[in-house]
Amino acid sequence: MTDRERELVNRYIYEVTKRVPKAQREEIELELKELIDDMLEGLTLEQVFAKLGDPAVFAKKYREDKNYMISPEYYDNYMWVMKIVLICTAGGLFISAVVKCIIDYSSIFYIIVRFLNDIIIAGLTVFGAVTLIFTFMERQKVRIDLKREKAWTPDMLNPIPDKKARISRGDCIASIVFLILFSCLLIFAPQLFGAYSVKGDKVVNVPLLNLAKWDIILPVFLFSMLVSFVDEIIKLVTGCYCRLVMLSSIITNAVGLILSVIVLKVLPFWNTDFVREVAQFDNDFKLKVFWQKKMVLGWDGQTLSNVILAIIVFACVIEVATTVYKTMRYGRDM
Amino acid sequence: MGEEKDLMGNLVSELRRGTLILSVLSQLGEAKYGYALVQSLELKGVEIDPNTLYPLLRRLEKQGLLSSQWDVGEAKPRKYYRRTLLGDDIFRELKEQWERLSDNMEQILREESI
Repeated sequence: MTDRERELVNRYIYEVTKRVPKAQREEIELELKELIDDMLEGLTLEQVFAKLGDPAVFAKKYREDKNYMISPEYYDNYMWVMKIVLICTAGGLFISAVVKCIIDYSSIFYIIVRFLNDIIIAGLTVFGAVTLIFTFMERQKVRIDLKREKAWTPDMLNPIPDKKARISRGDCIASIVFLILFSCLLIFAPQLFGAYSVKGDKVVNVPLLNLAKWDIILPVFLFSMLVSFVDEIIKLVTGCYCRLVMLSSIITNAVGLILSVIVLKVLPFWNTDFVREVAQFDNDFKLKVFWQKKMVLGWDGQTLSNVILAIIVFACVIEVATTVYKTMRYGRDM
Repeated sequence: MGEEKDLMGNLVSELRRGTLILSVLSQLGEAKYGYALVQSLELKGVEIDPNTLYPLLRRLEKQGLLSSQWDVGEAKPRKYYRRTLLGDDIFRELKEQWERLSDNMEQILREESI
């Protein structure tokens, strides 16, 4: 072997070994030396290299690496989480941009540019974060499959649900997204619920909710959101009306009702000075509220509470009734 | 045409991949070094690229089917592989599986010959 050939062989071996784990490097180097020497007894160096192929490919075979970050096993869950998180992010940014436009319409252009900017950055960040989390789980083999812990048996084949008993995935996801967005609003921007009025260049905002007591009210609110969230997840996983969904719906609505009563009737939910504060900066409104001598609308939120409560009761009854009806009529045991 | 060739190539190599471990195990009842194994398989019509074989040998060693030893007595050091006891057992079982498989395939293909 000429010096030139020896040099080329060494280069080839180096190209392979630099790509394999340190602990194996020395031995693989010896192996390759042995192999190439043996091959050179019957072949020219060119033929040897042609046979061995790209050193990077060779090294990869030694590494037995996985060629993916997220395996098929995790892929479904990954895509599912990704979709929801992206929708929530985009939705949250969009709503906040719309609200900002309403409050401060003089800088709509700036807000739109800012929104586009935010959505790209936040989208990429969220995408990266979800991917990273799943890659980590993949590497650590964290099991996240909610549905299948037992080995599958034919007994698990449930009858195909009646068409009318199926719960649409889209509806569930829409509800989940709404719950998350609404919770975010309640956590980060409860002051946005209120009255707005333009005064010169400035927009004045009077909150409708009692922000002074918000630290008591918010947890109750969030708890009821959480209960609804669990309910939607149950619906999503089962995919059709069945006893579990019925039970969950009844509990969720009952808890929701109780919490609504607590929030609306027991806790100081409303900003009781709302009307007075609005009247302070809005003369038209003042005329309507204060007529002749006194406040015409006696605002302490009680009437509004009663109306909202009535709507909630109505909605709960309808939902429970529908669920029970559909479960009894079309649903299956589970 | 080129695509068809690619497809064929893929299918054939997929078919061969399954037989690789059995071929390698079959030859290592006595100790052999890597390239001697390539040549002895080649003589029997089984072609295997060194860049597939060498990593495979390491993997089988890690799984406990083969053991290796460096022989530094000769002019150049060589790494010899041979089957372990576990390797013997696995080889025997795989061989039985293969015989059954090949019987079945033969029958299937005879019935369906074009």
